[in-house]
Amino acid sequence: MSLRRVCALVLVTVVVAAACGDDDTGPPATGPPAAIVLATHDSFAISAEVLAGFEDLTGVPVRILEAGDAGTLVSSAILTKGKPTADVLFGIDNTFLSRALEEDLFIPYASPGLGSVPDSLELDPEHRVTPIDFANVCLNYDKAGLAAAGLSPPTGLRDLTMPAYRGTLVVEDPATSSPGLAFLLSTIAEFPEGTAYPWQTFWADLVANDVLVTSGWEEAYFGAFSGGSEDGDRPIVVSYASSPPAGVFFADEELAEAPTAAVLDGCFRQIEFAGILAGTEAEATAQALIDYMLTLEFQEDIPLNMFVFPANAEAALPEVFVEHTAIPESPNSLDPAEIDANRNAWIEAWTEIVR
Amino acid sequence: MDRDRPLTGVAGLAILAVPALFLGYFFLYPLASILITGLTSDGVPDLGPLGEIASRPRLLGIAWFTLWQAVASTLLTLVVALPATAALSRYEFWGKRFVRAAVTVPFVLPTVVVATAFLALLGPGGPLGLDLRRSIWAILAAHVFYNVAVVVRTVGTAWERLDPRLEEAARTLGATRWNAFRAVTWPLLRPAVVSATSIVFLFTFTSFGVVLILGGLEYATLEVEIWRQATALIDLPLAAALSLLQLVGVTGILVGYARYQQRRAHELPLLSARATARRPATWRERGFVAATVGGLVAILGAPLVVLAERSLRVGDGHGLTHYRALAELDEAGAAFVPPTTAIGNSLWFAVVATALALAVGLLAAAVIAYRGGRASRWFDALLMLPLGTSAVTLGFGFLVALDAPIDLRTSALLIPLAHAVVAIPFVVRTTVPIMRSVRHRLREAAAVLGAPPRAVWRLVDLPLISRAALVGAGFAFAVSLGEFGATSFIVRPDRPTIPIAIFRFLGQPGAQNLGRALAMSTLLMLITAGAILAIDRLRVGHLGEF
Amino acid sequence: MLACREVTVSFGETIAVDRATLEVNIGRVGGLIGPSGCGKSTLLRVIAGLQRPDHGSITWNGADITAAPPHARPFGLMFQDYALFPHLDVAANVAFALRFSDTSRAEANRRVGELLDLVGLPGYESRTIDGLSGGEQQRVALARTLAPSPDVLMLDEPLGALDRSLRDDLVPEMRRIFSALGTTALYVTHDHDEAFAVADGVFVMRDGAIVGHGSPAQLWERPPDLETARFLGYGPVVAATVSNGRLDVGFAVAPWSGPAGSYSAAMRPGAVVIDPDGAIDAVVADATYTKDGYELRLEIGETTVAVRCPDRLPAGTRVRAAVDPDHIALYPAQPSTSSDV
Repeated sequence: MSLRRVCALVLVTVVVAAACGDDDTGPPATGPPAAIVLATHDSFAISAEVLAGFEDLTGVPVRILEAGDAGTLVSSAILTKGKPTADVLFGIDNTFLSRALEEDLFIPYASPGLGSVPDSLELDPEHRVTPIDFANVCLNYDKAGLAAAGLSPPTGLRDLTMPAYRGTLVVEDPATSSPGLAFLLSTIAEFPEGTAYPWQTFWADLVANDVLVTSGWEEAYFGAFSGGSEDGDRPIVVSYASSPPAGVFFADEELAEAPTAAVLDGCFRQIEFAGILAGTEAEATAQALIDYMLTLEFQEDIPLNMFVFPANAEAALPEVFVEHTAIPESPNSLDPAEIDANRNAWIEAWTEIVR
Repeated sequence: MDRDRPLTGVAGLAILAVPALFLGYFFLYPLASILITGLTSDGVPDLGPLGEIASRPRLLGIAWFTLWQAVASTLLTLVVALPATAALSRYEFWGKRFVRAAVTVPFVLPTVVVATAFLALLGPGGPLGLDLRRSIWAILAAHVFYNVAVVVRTVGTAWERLDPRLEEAARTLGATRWNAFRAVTWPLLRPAVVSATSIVFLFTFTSFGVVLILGGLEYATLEVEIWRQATALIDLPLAAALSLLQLVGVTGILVGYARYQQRRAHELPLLSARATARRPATWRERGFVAATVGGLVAILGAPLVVLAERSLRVGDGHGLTHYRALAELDEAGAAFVPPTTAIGNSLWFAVVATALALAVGLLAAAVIAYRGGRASRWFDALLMLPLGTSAVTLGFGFLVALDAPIDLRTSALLIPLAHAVVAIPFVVRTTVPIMRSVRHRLREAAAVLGAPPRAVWRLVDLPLISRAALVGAGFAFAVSLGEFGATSFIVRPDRPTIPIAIFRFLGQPGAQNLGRALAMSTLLMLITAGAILAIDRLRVGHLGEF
Repeated sequence: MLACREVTVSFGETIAVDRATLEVNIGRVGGLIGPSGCGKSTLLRVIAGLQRPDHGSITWNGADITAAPPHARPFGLMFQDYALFPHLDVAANVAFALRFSDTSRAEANRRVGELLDLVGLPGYESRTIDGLSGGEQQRVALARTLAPSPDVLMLDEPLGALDRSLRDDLVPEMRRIFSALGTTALYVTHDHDEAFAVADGVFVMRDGAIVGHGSPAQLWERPPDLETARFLGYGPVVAATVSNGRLDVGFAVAPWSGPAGSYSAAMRPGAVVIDPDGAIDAVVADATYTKDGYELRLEIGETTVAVRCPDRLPAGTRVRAAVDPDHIALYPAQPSTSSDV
């Protein structure tokens, strides 16, 4: 390659980059946008035909932008405040909600679809964000693994501190994992500070009982949990109430019974919201997308793609969900403002106890 | 070399401008933007977060751990890689070409997958019979696994071109084999070794995935902590302050590196690799080759074999179920893309990133090698900076900075551009030592034979460095192919690459998902080995072994 | 005509070339001789355009080309170390310069074959450079330099690295090639015999300056200065006086037509001859065999002189010798009076 050709290549690439950049620049200021851009985290999934359904409805295609995990998504949105890379953001949960609201990232919009959403899922009275789905972070256990150890399934969080359950639990680091944080919050809600048995004592007991901590859900579930892979030697893991049906759905061979089950006591409810990003030039279409995300078509597609529960109470659940999971009746919860105010201090304190 | 340097004057400045502008716009500008955003409040500089680091022993401990694990990992990598590099450079043996290509495979594998193999190997059931899963050894071993390729390929390129007669001359002057190596070969190889060492150091200094997954709660690098602060705790000012601290550390290393580069490089008679390698003749030589290369293959191969074996596990037996499952995936679910789509995306990004890295990197290397002087040494060090810069910080920097004049933030091209920024140092590092050792006399000979400066570059320099440039290109390709940690923070249009597809599978419970992730990882290994083999076989023009 | 005028090159404090001026006429072969490190190679680099002079100019047929880049000059330079391209085979090395002219591939191939014949390496086209011997590399380098038919051919110690017999063969070969091609050439060497054999006119360089020039015969018979005389093989040098038409070298007296005064007398071979009628009383110190008989070293008082003799005289033999003033050059007196250069 001659020097001239090298220079030419660089030039061409930069020009192409510029051209493509142009193509991808958000919607034009007037008229219907060329596309509506949905920023979301890397666990987002929905069927292609459901996504195409929005285009059939409005004539505007949806373009997905992935921005790392849920925390990265929030940080990105904060950093691009006022000049967003997308029109709608989906995937902010109740642990980060307060921070996002504080930053004034969203334009309020009360979707008519909210009529079918239980009030308990609506955390923002100003409707800056709209609940789309929810999940419950619960203890999961490996049925065979527990039986082999001669143990019965734990009935609540407190059981985990009993000597019988020594060395059986794997949890995720709340500083690096979203279910890990949810589980910590669940213990804080269950064992409040200032009581005779505060959450700090509970965690100290867990440590004494040889709890294993991993940085992420993948390492806990596929690396340490005996119900996730052959490598695992821990029969209890912090995961989701919907993990057992996913285990059946994605099993190598067809299974009559789920090999794992969730403990419905001591769960923490994670609610995922969508919001219209301030600075969008397609507010009307963005509102239409929020509406669409609450339709039965979209809502009923959620469970088998993301293994969470639809926010729309009228949405029918797939059979595998009905058979292998249940929604905990009274999950633990904390006020988003309280979570935001204390998140860092709690994680610091937790780290001090556990490390 | 001091007389009549090419690339001085206006032409030199023009050539300098391309890499300078590229790195300025795609690296320095985003980096400066995010640091300024993080360390100002309402437009006023606020250095409070820096003070916060100083007052928190845990953060200071992380800084200290970051430094010492990087030093230890780098030394260990050199110890494992250098003897094998000697064998691969000096001897001809069956499978050598494959080993040279295969060392690059670890480079591209997602940490989350590699970690499962390491946990299996370093657990109580592994071949060592020791439980090293939560120890520093797991981190060091993984760092060696990932970085051996850098040493083998960077140093190997220089070593295989070194005239063995130099060492033979030393032997006839009474030097033992070891003394001849120490007094002749080592000093001549040192620029390449320093290059490789600096890359490995920067990589391990900014190690993310390995430490996050294998380090547990006990060990964290600055990079992990930046990520925690930025994405889990949303403390962007503290993340910026930590990035600055990391940058200061890296800059310190690079200052030392630039100082080292002041020492003059030697012009070497470059030989074709074929002329310097021979079959091992004695039992001692055969033993050396077998021990070093065998050891390397064992260290790198064991985790790969574990991964491949697991991808074939179905229930209690083995089979191709997971591969078939991959092939059966269609576009219906946006969560899972067919492997062909992900492979296509990955290859396309890798080709663009490699072309960019080669174009910009070769121009930069030419400036560094031919211009000389203090400025080009600093430019050299500056080019290394992307390797030592927090990927999280840079990813967020892109978001903050690249919205105008053209909004590149959501362009698919931002991905190869970001890959190229990280890949350029590889092209520069592999080619500069060779460019410097091209005898100036050859360029003069071409000039008096009537070759204009550009023809001199094309007909003399390029063929002689093409092999090194291809090694650099191989790294660029691998960096791009395996990208996950670095640019997973960039807002990404929905165009999944292989590592992202793997991550997708691991996001849901179920044996099928684990199996598919491992099958996809095995495919990634094969694609990488194949691509590197193909690049190794590429030739520039008709110029045979150069 | 190739001309250098007042060319000066310095590297820091060191002056490598000091106001050097030389001219070579078209079709002539100029020799440039001088001891190692005298600046010969630097001057060649200036002429080739590889080195910018600090002062002075280079002209070719009257045109000032001092600022022209090397590739734009119609000159060829053959490097002392050949600088063959290791990544190209013999044919590609020889044909290298033809890439930059309007030479067709077929024409280039033909020319390569022709040149390899000329330098005595027929059929070497596809050989690699690594596999050539020193002499073969030298011939390839010469062929490569000749390929574009440069107007001026410059050769920097072209035979320097070769063994004696090869050199003895190649010196007349060079001469033959130059006259066959009719090129203008500048031939740099530290070996005066080689220069005298190849060149039409020779320039003598010392400490960066051109200290003399002339035809080989002129230079040999009357070296421009004492140092040059020593460099060309004059010796010994003895203190001498001229008075009343007679030269007195201490151990002998001979007729001399020149101004009276004190001198240093440099004696070249033949200045002292064995002569049974001679006035000098000498003792044979030792005898060395050469191709043309024996070379004896005679001790005459404190001075040692070499003389030729068909017979081997044993050491210690006393002989009579005489002085031949035609083989003596006089220079202004120098402090040291005797030397065995």
